[in-house]
Amino acid sequence: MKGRAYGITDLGKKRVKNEDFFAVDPSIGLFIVADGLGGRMSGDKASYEATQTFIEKLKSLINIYNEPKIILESAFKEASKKAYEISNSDEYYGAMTTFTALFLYKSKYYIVHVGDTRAYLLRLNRFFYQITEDDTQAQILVRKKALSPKEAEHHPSKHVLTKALGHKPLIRPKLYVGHVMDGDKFLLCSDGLYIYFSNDEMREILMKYKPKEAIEILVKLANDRGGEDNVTGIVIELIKSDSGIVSQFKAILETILRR
Amino acid sequence: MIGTVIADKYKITRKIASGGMAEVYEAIQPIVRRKVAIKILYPQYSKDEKARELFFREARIVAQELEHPNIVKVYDFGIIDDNLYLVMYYVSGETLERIIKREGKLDIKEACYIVLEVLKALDYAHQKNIIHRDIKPGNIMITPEKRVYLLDFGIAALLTEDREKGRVPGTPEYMSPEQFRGKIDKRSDLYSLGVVLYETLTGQLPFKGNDIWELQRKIFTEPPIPPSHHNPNVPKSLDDIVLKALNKIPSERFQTAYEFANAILDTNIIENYYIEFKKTDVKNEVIRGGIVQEEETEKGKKTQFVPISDDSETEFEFIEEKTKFNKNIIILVILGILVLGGFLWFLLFSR
Repeated sequence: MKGRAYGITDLGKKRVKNEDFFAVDPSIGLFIVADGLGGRMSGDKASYEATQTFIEKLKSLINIYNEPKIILESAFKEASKKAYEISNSDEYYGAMTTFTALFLYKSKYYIVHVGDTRAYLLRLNRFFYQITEDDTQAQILVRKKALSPKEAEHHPSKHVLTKALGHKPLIRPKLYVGHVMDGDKFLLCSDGLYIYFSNDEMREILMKYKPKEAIEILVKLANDRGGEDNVTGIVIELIKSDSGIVSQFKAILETILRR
Repeated sequence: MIGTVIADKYKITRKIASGGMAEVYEAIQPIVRRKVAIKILYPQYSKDEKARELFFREARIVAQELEHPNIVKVYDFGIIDDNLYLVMYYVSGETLERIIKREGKLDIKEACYIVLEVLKALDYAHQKNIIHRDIKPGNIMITPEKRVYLLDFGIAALLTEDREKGRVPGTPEYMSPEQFRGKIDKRSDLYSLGVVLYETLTGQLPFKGNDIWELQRKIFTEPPIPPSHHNPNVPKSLDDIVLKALNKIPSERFQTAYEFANAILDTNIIENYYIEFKKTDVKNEVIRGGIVQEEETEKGKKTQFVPISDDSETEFEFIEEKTKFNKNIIILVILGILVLGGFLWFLLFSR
């Protein structure tokens, strides 16, 4: 498969520190966005360490195992432990981070996720949707049918995280797996970015522009519209997926059934 | 050679080229599903311990320091069966040498564009105090998407064998006067690029000789014929730039890649081209992410994050080894049979 990506992280307009972190590893097709929080403004340590630990563990295993799920789980466990260590230290007590990682491997995408950073997919330049589910209070209420998705968008508890790395010694992430096809575009981003856009807007921008321009525009608009939080995002475009006909068919099916 | 596995990691798939000092092969690194180019130097370059040490030292610097969208990245190197080798990311395309051989002179806008792209790479490397030493069309790759890459950084310096014989590393037609004397600095790279610019504009070299002595004499003493003589499309402003780049006195040439690039941009031959030359002094910036890069430290491999380049997207490509018999084909066949069966049923039974 062949593709290109571009990522930006920005302080935003209102914050004094950037606690987000992002990573692009073209050598293995790995993309990560992490939003640090807590610990008296030491969330940046958590997002950085979790990401670095995850990448290092993943790279050490990638030559040994063939099954991505095992590798990702193992890498996440390691990152989870590290985050907990930091969160319990005196210097960074209480620091935590969200974590959303996209791994592309042999016609499939794997997303390891915890928190309220998000992964979106634009397929066939038409279908645009959020792949990951937020680990927030509001989302739990939606699951329990106490809130409608529309209400949840404006609910005060939509920013209350129910899960984050550093919170407990071992966090179980959500794992999303699907088939990829030519032209797929992914957007990984922190909440500082997506709260300023409707899905339709993000779809338009991803449709019209190449990855670098798309994310530059998104970040600029987010800042123009308030920039309350750190703004971070990566746009990944799959130019050629190497997916066979059956895989592409499965991919389309997955998309249609999701809606 | 084809099918051979090098260093347990790379499987050779085909030969790309044979050069003056090495053979270049295309290979796959199956574990990370990546296509690479492997340059295997001829055995005479790894004769002694000193040569190898020098090679490894330079290769390490180049591999670690140079991360730029216009530079082909070297990411592994070593020695196999007494041959030194370098592993680089594979770039598909043609060298400028092939293109000139085929098409002669290029459109002046294209010529300027290519030189500007190389200048971006040189500006970056020069700021890190790395000199290329062998700028020539054979070291400039152009992809089908018109991206321009500079290859083989610093390699010319590694060839002590040549130096011992009294020969100076480099390719004579592109060498500056001071390079013949063994004195080389960043401006020598800019001179060589001037020769490349001359050649792309006119289809020929500024200095030619029947032997090395005649060539050297001309490089040292004869002024070049202005490109516009060979190509009337070349405006005077561009003539002046080429002549300045080819000045025999280093202090009279462009002193930095930045200066050279700005001069080209000022001619307005190319519109809407934006270059930003920034200081690579990124230690002051707090890096909140970027491209992953591995660094060798005393403690082992450490993951570093390099700021994402301002100029373009990061590309990735993985080559999957094709499995001979795909289970997908079975599914397709079954689906086909079902569809056919359904169709037949419909024909036969629905009356």
